[in-house]
Amino acid sequence: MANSQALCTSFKVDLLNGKHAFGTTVTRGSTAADSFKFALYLTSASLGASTTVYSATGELAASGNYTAGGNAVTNATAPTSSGTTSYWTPSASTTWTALTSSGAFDAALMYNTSQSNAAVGVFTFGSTSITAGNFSLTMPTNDSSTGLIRIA
Amino acid sequence: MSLPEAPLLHTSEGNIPLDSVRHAPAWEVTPEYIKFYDRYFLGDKLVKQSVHVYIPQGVSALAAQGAF
Repeated sequence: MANSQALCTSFKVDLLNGKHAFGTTVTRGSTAADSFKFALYLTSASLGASTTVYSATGELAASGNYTAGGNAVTNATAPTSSGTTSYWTPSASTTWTALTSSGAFDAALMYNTSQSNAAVGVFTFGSTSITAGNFSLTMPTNDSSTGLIRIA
Repeated sequence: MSLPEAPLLHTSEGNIPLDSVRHAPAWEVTPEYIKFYDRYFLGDKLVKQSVHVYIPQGVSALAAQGAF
């Protein structure tokens, strides 16, 4: 048996569960999972890796059955790992019904409403407009190669 | 006995007979997303469009570890 250098896989899962804090951290109200949302953004917005927090700037207007802030993310599956990759995926798709979008949009921001709307990730899907219809985002398979958020 | 009324479709032009619109579904497949368009046209005008996006793969962060 020999030792091997590695970032522990359990640590990668712990990161998704908020277990370690190398810097100053936040005070949590409970041990429950945080709440997250998906908000939709117009093609004119500039979201990306530098986005730190949810903002209404560039968001789809709150009209035509879209509510500012977006839809709640269904989170019924805890982060886990396979091999050396930890991962997590929302446990359900999200849908906006009877929608007429205020313009063309191409991105969804996932953010944490339990932690001052801190940004999690930006997901793009090409320019999209909805006219008297529905819009849905279907999540990938929750595994180590396709999960929505993975730490490899 | 009267014939049943033609089914109506809710559109940007109000409720209009389903047989008066043209249904034009379409797919867009890219490595980042797969998108299904469910479109209805009244003449040349788009009067109803639903879009369904499937994200086949999420985002990955590569955890790097320093060495002594």
